Amino acid sequence: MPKSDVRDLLPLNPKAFHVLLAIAGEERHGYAIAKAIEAETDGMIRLTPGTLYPLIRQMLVDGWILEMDGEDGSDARRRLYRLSALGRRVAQAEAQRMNELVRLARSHKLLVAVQG
Amino acid sequence: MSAGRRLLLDLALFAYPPDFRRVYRREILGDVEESNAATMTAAFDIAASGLRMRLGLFANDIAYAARRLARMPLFVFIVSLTFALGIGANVAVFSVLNSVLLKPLPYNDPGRLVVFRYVNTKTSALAADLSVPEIADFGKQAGTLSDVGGVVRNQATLTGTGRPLALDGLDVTPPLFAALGVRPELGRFFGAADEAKGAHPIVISDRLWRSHFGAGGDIVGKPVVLDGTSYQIVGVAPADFKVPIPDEGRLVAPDYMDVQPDVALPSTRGAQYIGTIARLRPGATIAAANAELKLVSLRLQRLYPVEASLVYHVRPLEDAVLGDFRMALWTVFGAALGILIITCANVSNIVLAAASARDREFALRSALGASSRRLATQLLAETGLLATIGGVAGVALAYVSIAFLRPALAGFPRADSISVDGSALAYALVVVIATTILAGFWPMRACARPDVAPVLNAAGRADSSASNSTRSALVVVEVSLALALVALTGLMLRSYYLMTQSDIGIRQNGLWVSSQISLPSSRFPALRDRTSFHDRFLAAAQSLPGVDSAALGLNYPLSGIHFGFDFGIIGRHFAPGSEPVASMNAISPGYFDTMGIPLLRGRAFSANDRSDSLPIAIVNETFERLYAPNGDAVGMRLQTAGVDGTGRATRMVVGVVRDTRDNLARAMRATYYVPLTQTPIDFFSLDVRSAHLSRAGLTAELARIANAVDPLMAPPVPQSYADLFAGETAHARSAVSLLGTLAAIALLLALSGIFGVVSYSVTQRYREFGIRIALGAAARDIVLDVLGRALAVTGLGIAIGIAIAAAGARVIESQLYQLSPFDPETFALVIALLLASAVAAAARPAIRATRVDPAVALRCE
Repeated sequence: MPKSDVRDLLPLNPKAFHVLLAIAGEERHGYAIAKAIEAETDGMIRLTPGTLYPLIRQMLVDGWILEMDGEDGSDARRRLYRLSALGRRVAQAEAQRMNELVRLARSHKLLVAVQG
Repeated sequence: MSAGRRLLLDLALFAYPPDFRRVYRREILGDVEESNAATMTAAFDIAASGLRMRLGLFANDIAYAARRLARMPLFVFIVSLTFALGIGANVAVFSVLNSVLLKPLPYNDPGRLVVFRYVNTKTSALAADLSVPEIADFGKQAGTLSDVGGVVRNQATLTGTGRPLALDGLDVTPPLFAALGVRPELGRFFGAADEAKGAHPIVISDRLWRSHFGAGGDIVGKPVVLDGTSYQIVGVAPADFKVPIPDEGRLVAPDYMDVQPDVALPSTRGAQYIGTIARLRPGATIAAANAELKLVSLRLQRLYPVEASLVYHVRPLEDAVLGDFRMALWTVFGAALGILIITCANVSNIVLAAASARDREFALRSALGASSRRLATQLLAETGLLATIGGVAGVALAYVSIAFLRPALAGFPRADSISVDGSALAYALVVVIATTILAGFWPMRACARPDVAPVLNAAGRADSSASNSTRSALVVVEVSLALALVALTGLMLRSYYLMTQSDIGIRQNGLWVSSQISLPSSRFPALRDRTSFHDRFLAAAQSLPGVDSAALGLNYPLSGIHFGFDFGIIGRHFAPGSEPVASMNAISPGYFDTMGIPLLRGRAFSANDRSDSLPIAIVNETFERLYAPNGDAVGMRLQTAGVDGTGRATRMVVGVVRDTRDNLARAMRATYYVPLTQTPIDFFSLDVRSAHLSRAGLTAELARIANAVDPLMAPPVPQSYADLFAGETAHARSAVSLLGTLAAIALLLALSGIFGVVSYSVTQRYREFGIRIALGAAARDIVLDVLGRALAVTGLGIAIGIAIAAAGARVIESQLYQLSPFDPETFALVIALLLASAVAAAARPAIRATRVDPAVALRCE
């Protein structure tokens, strides 16, 4: 998918963005993703299984994430997920969009106080 | 994880589509376990998420179907129109069925209302009317029944509020209102105190209250004069108040109700003329009531000679009022369901034809990994969307057709309440879902598992012969059901026609009968007062310009009523309780001439037959056949009952006339006629024969002479025999109009089915025809080939249809009037109609087949 098309997918559903972030560095299984997001947002965002797996399935269908063949040794029941190249571009585009938003907010003096 | 927790979570997981559940069940359960979430919370989370997913998929399917359908407007138009016809017909018929049959009668707890009947165990005769003392007996002695009330029709002339007005009223016994459980709009209904002699309480209708009493709130207590007697208004009945008349099985809306005068008199037990309604006590059943009534009957039999061999029983009021219409309406509903099947077969056929053009699309998507289940679901979504569009259009169609058919439906009870209401809309929803499944079934089967390789290879041209035979089979179904429906409608139509043409024993053209004229005893106390009125009124009528002849009579053919009396025959003995019964009519001289009833033997009545001359009678053929000892009634002597203040008499039979019918449905009755002068009854009709007078002219003339002869008399209204026939056949006409509409729709759908399948097969055989034409085939051979195949399918449909129609004809046999359910002419006509229709439907495709250009057809690939 060309880059311009990736921008058409924005803005992302915040939960989807968090899932992408959670597996940006390392591949994780479902429960680990939910735990990681909870930790990274200080418990602000909790993904229940009923939210998480439909999201994962949709991202698999859309090709943003890939499912790893279960490795022996680790938890055999768990499927591991990692970012696909497309997923990485989508996440980057979303981060970029947010970055521009933040810059805009600064130019309107909305983030001055926090600047430390 | 505990078993209970596991079970609950597994149940919740069922909310997900199966493929999702298969893949993620283990992980979801694992996560719930690891996170130690509360079972209920987790189960709700899972179930909600599953439903969301399903809804999303459903919305996707609908949106996808809508996008696809938007590209094929003609297909959408044809299929939704087909659905609209089928669903509209069903919603309309359901509305009629529901309003007439299924809705409860407008009384409190109507399921517990019963009407009385009795059987004469000697003659097996069944009758519905009781006498005042009998009603009182059952009120006191039947513990299973409460509020045993009587009702009988009456008529009276209202004076003192402008021009005299003829009113239709009911004489009731007070418990009737408690039995029906209806509250008055104003004032009160009758109570036991109203039975006292001399009090004249009256309840008037809402309509009369508004039209003649200015709808005033102070109406209660005011006087009103009926037939010269002053009554006191005690209440106003609610608007649309109707009372069931057990003998007629009809609900009537009376103008007024007063207390049955016999209640206050020492009336005779044998005077059985009052319809009787009661309410089952809580906990009592019909069976229990009838067991008790049998005991009461036996007790009465021992006490009174007239009760000998009479056994009373009750049956549900609903049976009495609606019983006659159940068969007809369920037949029509069955026909509507037949239409629904035809509709579904037709839609399946169109969708199959369109879908075989889509085989490639489905094969391609299947090869690309779409599950067959998803493809089937999408196909179902399309069918559902089309059925929904058709359903909305169908409901609109039902509204319009009910409005259009309303006059024709007047023959059904409660016809004025027929409407497309909430339950009809609910029914429409059920029908939309059912048709979606039924119409979508074959296409789903055929398309959800296309054999991928051959379709892709053959450039989309291949078409399985299996799918072809499915389509032919569907057309056979359509044709067979259409034939059955058209045949049954044909039978009903022919029966209706026979009914309107039936010979009732008179010359109908130019014959009019007036509404009933009654002479109130307050103003006509003596028999000679009545006779004097008869003479003056008849003379006035006979002298009217344009009147060829006129006569007076108690009864007239096709009146729907008869006055049955016991009689004796001098020289023969009948055991008490088994005396013969015959219909009685009191007539003026000239009655037979006016009616056009031929005199077969003897003489008619003349002006010389006066009250003081020899008592005589004339009998009809049936009477003669049943009772004349050697086939000739003239000279017989009869012992006849007294009527309306006249005494019993021994009468000499002086003539025999042809039979007439008082009702189309019943057999001829034995009847004897007596001279009006010898039985000067106080109510009668005027019969007028006039070749020229119009309805308006006659109405005006009758009003004029009524006013001249007696200013307090309400003007009699003339009815022609065409009116009487229309009234008598209204019920059949209503059923026939509904069935006829359904049959036309069925025929139309079957035609379009034949057209579709033939047209499609011509397209498929395009190359074959091209080659045959190139090789020199004559146009005639091609046409015969196409028509032959169409007729083969139609012929099979007709054969099956005849079997279905034969079974259906057995069911409706009881509704046919003097017609065999297997009437060969009707069947032959219907078969010819179907064959001709098939040829007409196949003609265009057949001609198209002859115009195939060989060059184009062969280049096509």
